[in-house]
Amino acid sequence: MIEVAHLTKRFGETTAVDDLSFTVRPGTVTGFLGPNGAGKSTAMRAIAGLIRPTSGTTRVNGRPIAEHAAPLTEIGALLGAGTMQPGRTARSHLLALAATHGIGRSRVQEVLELTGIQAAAGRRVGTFSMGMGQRLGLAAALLGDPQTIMLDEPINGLDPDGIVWVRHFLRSLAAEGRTVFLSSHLMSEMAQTADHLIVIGRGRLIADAPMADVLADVEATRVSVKTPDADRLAAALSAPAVTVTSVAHDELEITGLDAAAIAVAARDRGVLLYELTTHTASLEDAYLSLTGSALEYASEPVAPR
Amino acid sequence: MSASTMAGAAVAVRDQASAPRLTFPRVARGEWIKTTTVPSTYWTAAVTVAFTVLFAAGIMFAVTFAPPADVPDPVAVITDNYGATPSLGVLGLAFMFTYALVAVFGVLLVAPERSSGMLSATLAAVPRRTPVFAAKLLMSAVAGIVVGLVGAVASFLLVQPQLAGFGLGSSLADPDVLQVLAGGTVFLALIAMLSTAIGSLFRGTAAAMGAVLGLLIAAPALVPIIPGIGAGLAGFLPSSAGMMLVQSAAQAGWQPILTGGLVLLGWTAAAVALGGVLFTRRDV
Repeated sequence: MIEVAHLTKRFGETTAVDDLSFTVRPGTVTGFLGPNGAGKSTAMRAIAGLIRPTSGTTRVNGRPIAEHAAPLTEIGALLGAGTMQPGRTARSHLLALAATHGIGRSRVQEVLELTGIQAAAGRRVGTFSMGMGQRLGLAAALLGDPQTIMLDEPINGLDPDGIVWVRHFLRSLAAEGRTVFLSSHLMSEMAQTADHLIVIGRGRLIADAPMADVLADVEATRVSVKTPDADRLAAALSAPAVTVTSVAHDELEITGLDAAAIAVAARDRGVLLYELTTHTASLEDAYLSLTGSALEYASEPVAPR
Repeated sequence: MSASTMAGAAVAVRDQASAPRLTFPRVARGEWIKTTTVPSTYWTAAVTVAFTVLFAAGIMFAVTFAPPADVPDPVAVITDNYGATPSLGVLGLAFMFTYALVAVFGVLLVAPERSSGMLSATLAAVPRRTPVFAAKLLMSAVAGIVVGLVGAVASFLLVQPQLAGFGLGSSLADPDVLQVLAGGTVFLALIAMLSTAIGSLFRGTAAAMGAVLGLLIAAPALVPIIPGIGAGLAGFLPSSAGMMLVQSAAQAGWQPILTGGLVLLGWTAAAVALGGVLFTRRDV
């Protein structure tokens, strides 16, 4: 379990994290979302004890991380690529970390096999691809067989095989009753992996809810319709709570009405429909609508051709 | 790669009679593993010993192998360069050639770890941090002493045959020899810890090296140039003061040795205090 209470971190003039409070519970996979610069990495590093909060507290399994007798058994963290010296072999890297807790060679071998890099264990880390480096970081996080696992962008650089493996692995850890906390930018993957979401923007909490609730809250359900009589249909459907957008000369996008209502309206006016498709809210839509006003770095919208 | 394997392994780790736990000896062991698993350790050690032996014993061999016509009075050349008891001079020179590389090694124990990001992994495993800093200082001192002693003793033994030939030999068991070896040990240990402590203040390896070598090598060369106070100030620089420690008490007396040692100790203590506080408090 991870508890963050009124966490604030200022770097000089910038407030990276602003009175952030949330709890990450065991038994579920909790996703941590937010735009670039929102403060996710800062919050995670504060939980790991690498960053000293300006105010507020973080606790792992009931106590601040520094008070635990064996931190690697409480929380395993993967906090960014390249947390290893290039001249050292993968095995030596793990042995050095394991030795601090008295964890032995057999466990090191286990985590190498678990993450699938045992064949490269004797190679220098500097020769590793990004994906292998990520696997090594994951192996290091698992050394103490921790109750809580915290990962910052764990699927960065992994091939599709690796991504699927991480998803299954994290879900199985959660099923064992562990606490799994991960941040990611890959919405489609997050939608399949996480059960609960914590969304932050500009250092502040925006949402802290089960995945289903976050998706349901967003009015992004839209219906797309293809018809030769688009203008007549658009006129027929217009109403205060309904938005009709013309996407092409024969295609409309409608929000505020479900597919059945549109089909009935079309039949009543003798409008022929070629296509009637409901698009349910995706996590990406939910995320973009939640964080739209909290973007640190916004790009110019690209005009459609 | 399956959940059941993970669960099985989990049982194995937790059921161990000695469950994982942080202790200082274990943290020190982690530092030992880190030190002995990077190539730079072995290169630095080899270069240090080779360099030391080459220069400390070098003049001796030059004198021995030079034709008598060029060097009519080898004993005079030797005693001019190394002092009345040349073995002690050789030892002193050995330590003086070693300390720069010991300083380099001290920086390498801490700066590359910070610049590569490895320090995040280390401190996530040991969030209290102080044991890591202490272990690094210990590692640095031990490595400096071992490499220094190997170089010094090797130089000493290599020149004994020639010196004995001139009637100027000594034995490792001589009290004077032991005193200089002890002084050199203290000198290198303090320099090593000073370098690690200062090195820990910087984010990049290049900056750390620059600061440490600037203080230990450039400053003694430049400070004496300052008009008036330069010469006096130079005596308070850590390396200049520390070198007093490798003098023979029989020849120079105890006072300069102790004064020099205390000055270096002061520098090292201040650097360790500052470095230690910042290491523990700074964001990583």
